[in-house]
Formats: sequence, structure tokens, C-alpha cells
Amino acid sequence: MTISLKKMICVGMIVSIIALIISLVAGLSFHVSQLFTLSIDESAKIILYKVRLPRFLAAYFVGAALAIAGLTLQSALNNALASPSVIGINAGAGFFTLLAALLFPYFLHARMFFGFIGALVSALAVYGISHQAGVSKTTLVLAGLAVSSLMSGFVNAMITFFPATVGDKVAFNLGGFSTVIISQLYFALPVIIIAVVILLKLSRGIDLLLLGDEMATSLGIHVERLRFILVILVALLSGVSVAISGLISFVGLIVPHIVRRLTKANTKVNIVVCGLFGGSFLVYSDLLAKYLFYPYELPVGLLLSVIGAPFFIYLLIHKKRRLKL
Amino acid sequence: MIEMHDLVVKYGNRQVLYIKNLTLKKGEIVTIIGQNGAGKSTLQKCLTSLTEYKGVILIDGKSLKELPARQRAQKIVYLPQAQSSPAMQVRTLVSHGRFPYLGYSHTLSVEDKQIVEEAMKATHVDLLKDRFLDELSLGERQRAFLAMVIATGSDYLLLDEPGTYLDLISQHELMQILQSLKRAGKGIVLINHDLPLSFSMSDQLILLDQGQVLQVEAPDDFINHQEHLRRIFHVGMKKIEDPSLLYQYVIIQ
Repeated sequence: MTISLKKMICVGMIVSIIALIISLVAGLSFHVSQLFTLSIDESAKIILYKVRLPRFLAAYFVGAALAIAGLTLQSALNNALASPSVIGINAGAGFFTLLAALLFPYFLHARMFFGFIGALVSALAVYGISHQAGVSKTTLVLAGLAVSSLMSGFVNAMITFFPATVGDKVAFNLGGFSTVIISQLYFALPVIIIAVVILLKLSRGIDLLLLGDEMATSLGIHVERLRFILVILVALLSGVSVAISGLISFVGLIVPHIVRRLTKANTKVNIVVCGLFGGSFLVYSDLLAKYLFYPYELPVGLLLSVIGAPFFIYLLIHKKRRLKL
Repeated sequence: MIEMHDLVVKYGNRQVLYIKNLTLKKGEIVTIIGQNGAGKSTLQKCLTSLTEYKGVILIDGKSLKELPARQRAQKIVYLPQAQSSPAMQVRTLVSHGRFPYLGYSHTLSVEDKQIVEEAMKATHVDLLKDRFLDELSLGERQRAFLAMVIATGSDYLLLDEPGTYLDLISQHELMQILQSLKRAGKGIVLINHDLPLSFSMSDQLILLDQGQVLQVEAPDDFINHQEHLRRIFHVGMKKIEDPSLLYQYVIIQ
């Protein structure tokens, strides 16, 4: 059953707004209406602007970015199980983030920047390797596995020689938004927005990739060039996201699958819907992680691993159109 | 017209296609025949830059290698034998045929929408336009892709076994569509294994064997020089002037 696109977008916007309100207000001692009139005391304002709003923005934009990155990669590689981890991005970001923690232990922003660079370096390495073997969907995935293994090896070597970085690795692997500060978003949000705008512009080309490389080439697409650009944009989205939040899994797999099954629309619409629902999904997941065992807070990455795996198994065994693009 | 001079295609060290000189014209249906592995698909893929080649290919006087991709697609379009079936509506698929003119950014104009509608009507998929490709039969999907190719408005259409998944009536309808495109001035280059069909509806036949062009003639001339045909296919062709026959050419031993 497909749901009309207007309804989907309306619902997406409504759930996003509800997510924002809950994120800002939950647990604080003022009424929602005071939020709109800004008649709240100074201490609540500090919590709102310094803690809650950055956390909401980080979770929303990271969720949107990961969902859109997953959608794009699945289309570009014509593989319903593709995700940024498949092409080595997460592993690269993880290694470079650890490197930053080692080299600049007191400079928090360095980790974000290094993580972003690590994602790009991994994506370029994957593309360079697969180019030598003849760029195709298969060689990209195989090269991604190779680069992931290499980066994981570097991480383990670093932990062995510099045991103090274990804590950073664990924090990175668990993933979360509890330590996000607003200045981290000054770089990340514009990058995410620009990458999404470019993807919207290229969406027609992504649709043509779904018809197969020969048909896309016949219609005038530079398939290899487009796929390269898409991989770089996915690396940008994922690298920035991973640099802010650490490893957040399954958003890039679950949200595109649900959106495609409900809308069966073209890529442009799916990007918008994935953004709305991916962002909302991660915000609600973060809220659940925050309040489920209150006052103890679970890392949202850990929660998603627990929720995501059974859902993914359900996707795999469910019969009708389970993995169709 | 499409002109090929000293065209060579190699996969590694193995030469798979060599064409000294060959010309394909608009307003004609040309069918490439030959055994599997003769180089038929390779020839079509050269013409749409899907295969590396050495030599010269000119499309209406312009070198194929110098044509930007979308300009090339406006002149020549290729429909491969096997197509994917994403969850895409038929009308969306057919509208993608306008990509060579729209590129990434422009939206469909009124004229583009009209072209898309006419293409769907030409292949009788207008009633299926809201259906999704992955819900259609192979034959319906084939017709939808053919509509997309028609919507490109390209001067030359290269079709790799377009009738493979079609029933007899649909194949006949397809040939009528191609005949009308030919009359409209399009150049049609087919690959087809059905010899009676190929002989009956083509203006020229190209016989390929092991990457070499053995014969290029009109069907009536072909049946007067059947040595290569018999050697390769172990059968011959005969023309029977009988209006009750679906195809005027039949296979003989």
C-alpha cells in the first residue's frame, strides 16, 4: 500500500515539529505555550539553547543525513543492503577520530574535522581501488570491505600502542549526542544542507542509475562520474554525521527501506521524505535512550543496534518486496 | 547517417569486431544477424559509447567521441536486451526518455509531456502508465522501455532483441511501430534471431560472423547470395509471395 506523497510529507513535518517540542520541553518545569512566548526563566533558557537545541539539531540533521546517505548509496550501487559502512566510510571516520583524540586530546573540534576527513579519505581510497579493477557496483563494495578491514586494523593497532585511546574508541562505537555543543554544528549543518541540495539536483540521474548502467549511459549519463560524485556526497554526509555522533547504525538502512515501501516515489521525493523521517526517527530514538532508564542515559547508537537488528531481520524474512529498490 | 571506418574492438588481446566500412541511414530498418558471440551487441554498444573502440564513427558527420553524452543521446539511443525493473511508474520511466534534453534540473514542459503521452500510446502502455514496472509482465515492461526510447526522439534507435519477451501478436505490433518510426525518418538498427521476421521487415541485413561483416544487402539480394547464411545457420531463406503469410520469407533446409 502506498501513501500519498502529500500526506507523507505533511506527516513528516508534523512528527518533526512534535520531536522538536518534546526535545526542548520534556522534563523542564514550564508549559509548552511559554516556549512560543519565550516567557521562560534564564536557567531554562540556558538549558534550551546550550543543551537541548544543539542536541535536537545534531540528532535531527544526523538522522536526516544518514537516511539520505543510505538511500543514495542503495540507489547508486543498486544494492538494497548498501550503507556507508559498506564502503568503508565509518571505519575511516573512526580511525581518524581516534587519531585526533591522540594528537589533539584537548581540542574537541579536531575530532569532528578529522572524522570528516577520514570519511572522505576512505571513500576516495575505495573509489581509487575499484577504479583500478574497473569501477562497478561489485568492485566498490569489495574495495569498501578491504578499506574497512584496513582501517579497523589501524584502530586496533592504535589501541594496542596507545591504550589511553580505548575510552575514545568505546565512546565512538556506542554513538550519542549527550556531549554535543552548538559550535560543532557551525561546520556540520551547512555541509549537510549543501550535500542534500546537490543530491536533490542530481536526483534524476540517480533514478536513471536504477535502470542499469547501459540504459543510463545510453540516455546521456556519465555513469562512472555520477557514481563518484554520489559516493563523495555520501562520504560527506556520513563523515560529518559520524564525526558529531560517533557510530549510529541502521538509520541508513531502516529509514530508506520504510520510505521506499510506503511511497514508491522518485528519488527527489524520497530524499525529502527520508530527511524528514530520518531526522525524526533519530530524535525519538535519542529521547528514548535518554529517558528509558532515567536518570541513566543509554548511548543512542547502542539502543539502535538493539532495535535495528531485529527490524532488519524482519525486513530480510518478510516476503513482499522486501529488498526491492 | 552513421558511418563507421576501420572500427576495431578488442577485449584484452582478442579482437571481437572489425568493420572496414559500414553506413547506416535514417529512414531504414537494418537488422544485424549472426550467431551468438558474432559481435552484434558489441557493434551496437560502440555506437552508444558503451564499448571502447579504435577507428572512426561519425554520426551525421560528427565524430562520436567528440559528442557530449547528452547530445549523443539526442541522436542515438540504445535499448539493451535485459532491463532492470525498479519500483518506478511507467509514466515516470517514459518521461526519463526526455533526459537528453532536460538534464538534471529542468522540468518537463508541455511539449515534453505531450511527447511522453504519444510514446506511451504508440506502444500501448498508456493504460499502464500508473502501474509500477516491477508489477508488469516481461512483455509489458519491454513495451514500457520501448516507449521511453521513443520518447527520446533520437534519430537512431538501436534495439537489442526487442521482441524477446513478446508474444506473437505483440511482436507483430512492435514491427508495425518500428515501421511507422521508419516512415517518420528514424533509423532503426535491430538485433534479431528470428530470420523470417528479420528478412520480412528489414531494408538491409548485416550478417556478422566472428566479429567480421560478411554481407550487407537488402533481403531480396540476400536470398540470391546465401552461401554465408547457409554456412553459419545451416539453413536458407526463400521468398514466397503469398499475402496470407505473416512473413514473406520462410526458412528452408
